[in-house]
Amino acid sequence: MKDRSIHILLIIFCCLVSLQVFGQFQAKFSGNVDLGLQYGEADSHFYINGVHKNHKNWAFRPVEINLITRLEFSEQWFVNGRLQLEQDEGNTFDQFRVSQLNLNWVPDDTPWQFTLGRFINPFGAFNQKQLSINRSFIDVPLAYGYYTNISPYIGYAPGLGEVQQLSVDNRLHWGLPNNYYNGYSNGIKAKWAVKPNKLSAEIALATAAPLEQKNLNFKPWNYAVISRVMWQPAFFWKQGVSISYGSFFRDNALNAILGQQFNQLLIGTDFKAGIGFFEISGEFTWASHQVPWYDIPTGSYLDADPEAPPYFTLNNWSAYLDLRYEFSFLPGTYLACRLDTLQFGETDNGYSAQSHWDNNVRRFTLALGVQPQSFLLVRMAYALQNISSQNADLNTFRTTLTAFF
Amino acid sequence: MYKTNILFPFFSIFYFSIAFGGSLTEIKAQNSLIGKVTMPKERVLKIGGSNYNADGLVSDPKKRIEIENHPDRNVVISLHPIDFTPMVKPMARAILTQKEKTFIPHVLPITKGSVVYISNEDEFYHNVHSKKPFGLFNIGRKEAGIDVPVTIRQVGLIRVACNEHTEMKGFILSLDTPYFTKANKEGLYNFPDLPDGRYQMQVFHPDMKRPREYGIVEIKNGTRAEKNINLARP
Repeated sequence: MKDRSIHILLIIFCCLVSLQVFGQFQAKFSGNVDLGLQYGEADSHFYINGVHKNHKNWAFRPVEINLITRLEFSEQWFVNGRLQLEQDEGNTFDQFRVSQLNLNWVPDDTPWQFTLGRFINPFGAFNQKQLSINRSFIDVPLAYGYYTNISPYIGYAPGLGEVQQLSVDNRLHWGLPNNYYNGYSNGIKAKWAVKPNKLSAEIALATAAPLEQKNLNFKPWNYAVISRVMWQPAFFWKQGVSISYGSFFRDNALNAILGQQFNQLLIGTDFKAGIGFFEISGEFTWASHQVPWYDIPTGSYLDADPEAPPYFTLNNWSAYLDLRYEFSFLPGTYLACRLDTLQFGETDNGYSAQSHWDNNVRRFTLALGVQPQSFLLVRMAYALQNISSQNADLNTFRTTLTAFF
Repeated sequence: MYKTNILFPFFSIFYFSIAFGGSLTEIKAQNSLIGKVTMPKERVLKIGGSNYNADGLVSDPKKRIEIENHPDRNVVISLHPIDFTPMVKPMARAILTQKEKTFIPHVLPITKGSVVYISNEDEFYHNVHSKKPFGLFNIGRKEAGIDVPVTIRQVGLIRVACNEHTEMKGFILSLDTPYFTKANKEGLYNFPDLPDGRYQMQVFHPDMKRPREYGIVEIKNGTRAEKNINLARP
């Protein structure tokens, strides 16, 4: 995989150099480097509170490096790209990704834009804040960063990762978040500026539903339709509505016998309102998954009902509310707090003693941001986290230094 | 001395059109300085401003604004007297407008102590601020139709940005001299009726990190001096 990535990058690099030699385009570059210091309580885990258990004791380490480019061939044609080096799910700093690489076409005198390649999944508000400089907080909302008991290899398994353990490709598997925090999708996308700065709509045909995290590994028949509408009811208020439906299973021997795909339906709404030095924003997401139920100890799938399709419907919802105050006398400095929750519905077959298909989670985060120079951002955040039915110690303190240009 | 305001660049162009008919050789002003700025070539590679994930949908009004507000039309030439201390008065009304997610003008030259009115003509809020070490103000989110006055007490280049729209960047150039102008779309500039003396010339183009000095000019006894400035890279 790494070899293939390197080859792709080399080809891209050669193409860019060739194009530059012939002066066919303008290239804009920007980037950022994030360094972090973090502390997590005893039960910290990347899939639960974002702090890897190997790096919970005041670990100071690189978090992320991004190189972002925009190549403009003309007003109608341009390429957006993002190369990302990040931690491997909170652990080793060695994950190199082409997180964005897409070709865009804006037909002359039309309100349309068409995108082909790897682009940011249009679902939700948080996906549009992919860079740390656009985020008030360090952790990602639970809907994007908390790994539930649903796996792209087997479907649903109660207590996946914590109680029942499944190893795939020599890695302990913990499931998937509702909407993967790195937020990329592969496919095609159309954007329609219905009324510039007032109303816009996006629709994407992608190769996997938004919960799939490394969606280069897709089955050819995987698909997802992801859409979003944004409008501005008043000068101080922006509102978004997103809907997505699609499949997400990866090729694996564990699911080969199922012979069919399984889907996620995701519906969300988000808003942002601001006046003076205050801003309030939030997002609500409801997810419904149609998945098989895998019993890890016996290595077999359960049947919901011999007369019914071999899947279970598992729902959850998530909501977060962010409040941000900027100090008028210290430009670039802010104080913010987030209330965040992820609530799971009940299982519908009676096989499990659990009444919910995963544990409900609540998190409260307080963050302070300071921008001492126009190219530096320092953020500090303390998060209190609670999981129902558990007495786990999951609070975290994190601080990051972001240098950007 | 003239009063400079938001329309200054357009007045300047107008003045050139009438007075010079587009030719430097026809100038008949006394104690004046004229010249032409050769603009930098459009860079193939630009660091910064990639505006992550920005879409390409640009409205027609914004396209027009981008032409009028191009960096090459925002080159400020200032003369800083060496032999005397000029009287520097705050400007009567300097306006920095936000329209179509753009600061107009891209570079606003003012005299130290002037009040800049930050005006929003968009139908949504902006969150305009400047940062240390050059400037320090934060007006917060303001709706359309409200002019927020900000007094600029320091001298230097103040970078202005919008927290809401990171692609928005502008400059306020606060000067300790009343002798400044902008080059017109042909790159021509003119300083009429300058007092006798030597002047340190400074030039600022938005692609520069800060104003640059371009030598000393001496003007006396009705001199019609000419100094051309080449900003194009070799």
